[in-house]
Amino acid sequence: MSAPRATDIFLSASQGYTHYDAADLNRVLILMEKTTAARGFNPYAVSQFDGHPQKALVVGAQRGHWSISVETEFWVETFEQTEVPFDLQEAERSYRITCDSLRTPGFHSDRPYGCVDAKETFNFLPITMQLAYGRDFGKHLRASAGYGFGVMAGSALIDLTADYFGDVAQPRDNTKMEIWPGVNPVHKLFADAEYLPWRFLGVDARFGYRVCDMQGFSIRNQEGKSQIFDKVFPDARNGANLYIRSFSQADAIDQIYVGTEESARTKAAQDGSRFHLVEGDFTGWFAALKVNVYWRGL
Amino acid sequence: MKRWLALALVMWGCGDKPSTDFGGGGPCANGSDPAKDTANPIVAAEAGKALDTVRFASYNMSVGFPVAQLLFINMKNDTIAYKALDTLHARYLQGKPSARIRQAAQAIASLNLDVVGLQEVETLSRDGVLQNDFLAELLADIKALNGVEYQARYVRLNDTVMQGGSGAKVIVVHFSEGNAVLVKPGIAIVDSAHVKYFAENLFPLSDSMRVGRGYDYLRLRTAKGAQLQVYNTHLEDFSEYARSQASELKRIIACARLPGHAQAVLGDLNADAGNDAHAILLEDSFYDTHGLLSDTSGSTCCLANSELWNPAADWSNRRIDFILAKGITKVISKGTALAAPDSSGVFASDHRMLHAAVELQ
Repeated sequence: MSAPRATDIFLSASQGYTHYDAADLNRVLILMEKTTAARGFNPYAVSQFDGHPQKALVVGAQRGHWSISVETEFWVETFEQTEVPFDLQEAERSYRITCDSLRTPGFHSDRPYGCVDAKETFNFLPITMQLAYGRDFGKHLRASAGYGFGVMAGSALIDLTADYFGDVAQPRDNTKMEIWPGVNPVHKLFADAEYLPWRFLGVDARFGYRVCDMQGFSIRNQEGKSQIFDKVFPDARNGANLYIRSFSQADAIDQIYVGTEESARTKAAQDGSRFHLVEGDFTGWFAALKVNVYWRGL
Repeated sequence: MKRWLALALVMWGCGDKPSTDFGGGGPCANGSDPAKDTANPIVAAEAGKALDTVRFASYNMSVGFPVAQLLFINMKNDTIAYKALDTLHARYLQGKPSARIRQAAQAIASLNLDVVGLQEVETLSRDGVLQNDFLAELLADIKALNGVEYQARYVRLNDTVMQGGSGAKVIVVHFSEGNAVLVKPGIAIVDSAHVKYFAENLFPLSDSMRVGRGYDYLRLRTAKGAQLQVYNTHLEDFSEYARSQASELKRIIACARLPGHAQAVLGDLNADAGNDAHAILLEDSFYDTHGLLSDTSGSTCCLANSELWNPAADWSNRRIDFILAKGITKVISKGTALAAPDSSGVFASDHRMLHAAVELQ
């Protein structure tokens, strides 16, 4: 495509899909439904996840058969729930209630009740430096394979506001916090098949496999206070980790625990429960369609 | 170069990371393994050894003073506190506590119970005047009925003084509750202990509002020489605490197990049969004296809205009170009591009494 010793610069944008198991996180989703149900929230159907749409930007340089580049994937998703009712007197009910029914003047509960607005924002940002080797097949086709290494950056932000009802209810409260997975390594293997209708433009199909395991999620930058959050997670504070706690051989009795490792170990010593640090297993395959723009022979 | 190497090591995940899996409790203080007892809870009778019968009951007396309603009430505001306490105290009196205690005494006497595990055993005073001492009244009522003077072991788990004022009016309520075990004379209490669980549900608003839970332990010897270890407990309402408390109890029972002794657990576990605390304890090979999980004859809870004064109040049919046993030879009988209100229309409690007679050696 260009003189053998010349360097080509390229910029790519891609859209695709990535698949992974995220076994621990999916288990947390199931347990979260049980945890919130025990605190008087409505039952709901748990939807599991095993992948997400993938977008990426790449900037790199190619010389001869070899190319080196930096790729940034990004997935930002926001979930919002408003008017989520809770009534501790009717915990673990099978039916659903609404905030309007809690607000009716005749409604009475012996235990705290109210409504929650919640917003969760997830940022998923793997950044990798990639090295690839490719061969041209004629004027318009190129195949390559490569390896990328980098870090999985990202975090989740949670914003929770609660209103409490009743004759002598507490005022509205709010808490915000960040769920931080730490800095975790990412490895990628990939193969590309590119069609170049013109020297400056290529359309590329990429398939690959990513190895990435986030070793734990912890709370940081917590602000404000929430009575209902404290009732659900009494040990949650800055530096607390997310665990699955087991009391028996039966998975059905597992529960979520949010607390520091020190407090978890203390509890384990007291009651013999076992703690498993929730990990983010994002190892899996990915596939994407890329558009590559080239500046040749620089 | 060194800086890049350090960055690479960090990126590879070296350095401090939280541990991924830990716990399980480890061995008992005496070195034995708490997980190892898989003995059949029902044992064969040994030839030449006397058989004895022990009639157990587990009964939540119901404080009748719904403390949970004080959650999230700003008790630091005098007027709000006065209104809340006055309202709750009126509700308490509406339930006619002394009449309720008399009903319990009648059931204990008529069933000729040997060992009774009690929960929500309350004392309440208003403005410095003792209004009810559940345990003292119960023992006196039983003695008045049949002359039997039960031995009692009581532990106070929660003790709080609450007050409020509205203008010139002041209310001071001293409320306490705990567990108790009654043992019929003729059965020797060899030793006993009371232990509070580490896992406690803490109410956020008041320094005096902490929900203490625990268990009573008694080592008994019957007149015919049968030996048993009895645990009486009341677990937390919220399952995440109850599971931890049940795990503590299960571990203690396993570590404290004595050869030649049967074990029994009496209590309000606040867990449905087959779930949570009940499932945790059954993993230690306990036998639920009320049999199969589908057997609803052991349903004891709860009276709708705890309306003790309402003779038309319905019962839901939950099994959350249990008599679990191991090392017994058989269950002779089982049932519930105190399902109906008395002649004045008052229910004894928002729980029925659960009872079972077992044979052991």
